[in-house]
Amino acid sequence: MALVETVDIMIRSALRTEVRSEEPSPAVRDALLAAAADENPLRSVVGPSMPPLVEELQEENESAVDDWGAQVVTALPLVRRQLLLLAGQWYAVVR
Amino acid sequence: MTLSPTDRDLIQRLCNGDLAALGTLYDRYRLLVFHTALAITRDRQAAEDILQECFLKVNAYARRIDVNLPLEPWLYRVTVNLAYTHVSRRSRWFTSLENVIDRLVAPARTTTEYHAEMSELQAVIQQAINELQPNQRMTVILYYLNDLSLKEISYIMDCPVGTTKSRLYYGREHLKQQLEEYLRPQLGTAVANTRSMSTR
Repeated sequence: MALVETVDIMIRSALRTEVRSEEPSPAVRDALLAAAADENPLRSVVGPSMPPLVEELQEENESAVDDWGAQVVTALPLVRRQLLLLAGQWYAVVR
Repeated sequence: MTLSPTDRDLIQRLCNGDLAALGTLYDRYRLLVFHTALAITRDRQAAEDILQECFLKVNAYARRIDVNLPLEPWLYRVTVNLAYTHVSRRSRWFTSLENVIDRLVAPARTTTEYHAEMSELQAVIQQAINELQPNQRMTVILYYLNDLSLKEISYIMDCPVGTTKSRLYYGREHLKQQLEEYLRPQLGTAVANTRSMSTR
């Protein structure tokens, strides 16, 4: 066998033997998921249910804002009419 | 029968906020990342830090990962970059090879068992790998430990194939030289024994 091949086998064997039986501590996985959850508060370790829930809340919020806006728009003519009446009465008193 | 989700599925789930998908990706690739980081740094704590950091990057950059490409080269690239930063900062890894050999040879001669000799030889090789420049060292590790091609290593280390080839060549030459130095006295003894037997 050529020397280069022997050297290759020795290097490969030495590198693989060194790491073969090594396993990371289980604490690394827990720390990773905790850190990832902290990095993005919208995400959750319990699964994908969180973002849709947030989206749902946003949609609900948006529709509530729209409803409020519609109420304000319909209420505005009334308010305007009342203000005109008040202004008319005040003008009559002043005159 | 339930098929295990593909990397593409898991990354897409991660993009939608499913951290359980990150856990599955971690379970799938933890040894690839950990063993590579450990071989480069030879420091268990550092390898665990790199492992965690690597998957935090998967989480942070999930939306930017091209799901049409395999994930492994991306993970190698991140691992190698993190490990490079680690070994570049650490200066104490430049230890004298002669000191290590002296320390190893003394007790090993008293034990003639094959396994003891093999572990001694492995220690010499590992120490010789530590003596390599960081770029040569990482190329040697990716080539021999992970069985990657020159093209794959070039992508991971972001350099031309010619540079990878050159790093591998000089790295191997250095290791060969150290091995020859270590083995020469033993070969000399073996040759002398053969000669004495033939003259009897």
